[in-house]
Amino acid sequence: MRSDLEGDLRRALASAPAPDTARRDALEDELVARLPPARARRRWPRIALGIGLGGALAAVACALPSDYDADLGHRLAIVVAESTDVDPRAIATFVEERYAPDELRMAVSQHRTREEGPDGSVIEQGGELRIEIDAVGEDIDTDEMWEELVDAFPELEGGRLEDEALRTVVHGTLGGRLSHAWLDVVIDRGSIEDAKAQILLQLDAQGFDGQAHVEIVDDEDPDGHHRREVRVWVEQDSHEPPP
Amino acid sequence: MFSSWPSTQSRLVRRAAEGDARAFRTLYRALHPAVHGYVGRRVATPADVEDLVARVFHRVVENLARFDASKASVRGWVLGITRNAVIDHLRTRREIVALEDGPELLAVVDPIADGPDPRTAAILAGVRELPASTREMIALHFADGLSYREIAELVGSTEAAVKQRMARALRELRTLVREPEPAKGAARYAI
Repeated sequence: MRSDLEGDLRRALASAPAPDTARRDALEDELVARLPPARARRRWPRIALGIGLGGALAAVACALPSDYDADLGHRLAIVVAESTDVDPRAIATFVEERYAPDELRMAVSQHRTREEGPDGSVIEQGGELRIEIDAVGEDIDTDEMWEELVDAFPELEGGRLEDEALRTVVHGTLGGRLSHAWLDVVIDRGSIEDAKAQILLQLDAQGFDGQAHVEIVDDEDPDGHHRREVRVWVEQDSHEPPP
Repeated sequence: MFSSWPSTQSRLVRRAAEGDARAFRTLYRALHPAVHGYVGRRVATPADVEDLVARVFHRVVENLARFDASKASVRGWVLGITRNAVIDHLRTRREIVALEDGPELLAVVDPIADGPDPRTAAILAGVRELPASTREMIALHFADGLSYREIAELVGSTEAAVKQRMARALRELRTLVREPEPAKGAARYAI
């Protein structure tokens, strides 16, 4: 529990001048102009898997044909003024029910600023409230989602939705079973050959053009947990071994 | 398990280094308050504050590709750049008379010159009596909101050492304010 002394120290020391917002925003644009040219993203086929939890651990590494989508979901951040009366759980429930992602995870954080008032007192300014939601699964039209969210939660009006594509995802279930939405393959301790066959069939069904290879290796990680590594790669004209 | 904010920031740095403007903007907006606050508490002139903040972020952009998440958090890394920039600035501008070293320059953040009340005045007087490196830790924790781990990263110490130093300093300050110094400006230093 924070003591009076610690509270007094914060109040005495933490005040800072408010930023020049015009300068701040101009600097942002100036800096963005200095970024290197955006690199063309590697496009992973939709068989990239995350790492499972519990006793069974599986990972898939894929070499890359050039023309398959990589996005696995969205990391969304709903940003509103801190003083906004929002119910993050209700928002998460709305997203879950409306968009039915395979997985949904949420975190809420606050960002505040302090400044010195005209009489020298410290004024703590309401900052921003960030509600971050990881939604894994089907692609989501985030513009449409924002409109629906504001309709459903009018208190979000004036806020903004930030969107970042999720590239990897963590899947995990108990009991050593790992299932993957894109390949719809169940990789179980006792069905390595079946899993290989399923993966190859589904790669073929998804139109992979070339020679597909699947290798499944059982091992132990440094903590002694069972680890299963599933390596999938496709050879085309320019062969690229798995990373 | 939800990715913690620090690892999200590491991912944003990596993507910004690859030219992702949106990732950079998200990072910038998250870090600007911390950088501006740090500089604003230590540099007197508003124009200098804005110039320094700009300089810091230009350096961040220049070094995005070199950021190593195994060595520091993103916030720690950026505040390290900020700290160095402020030290260089203060040394050059000689805004503080004693310019021996970094901790001395950054040690006391004291915008409330005499404190609005006797207790606060006594606390600030007690802080001034602390060693320079401890005063900087006090400022980093209570003014800038850094955790002990982040302070350790920034000043090149260990978290255990920072924790110990802070605990000792707070004990001394608590003793001090239970026995406030009656004479104005003087602080009785209890052992």
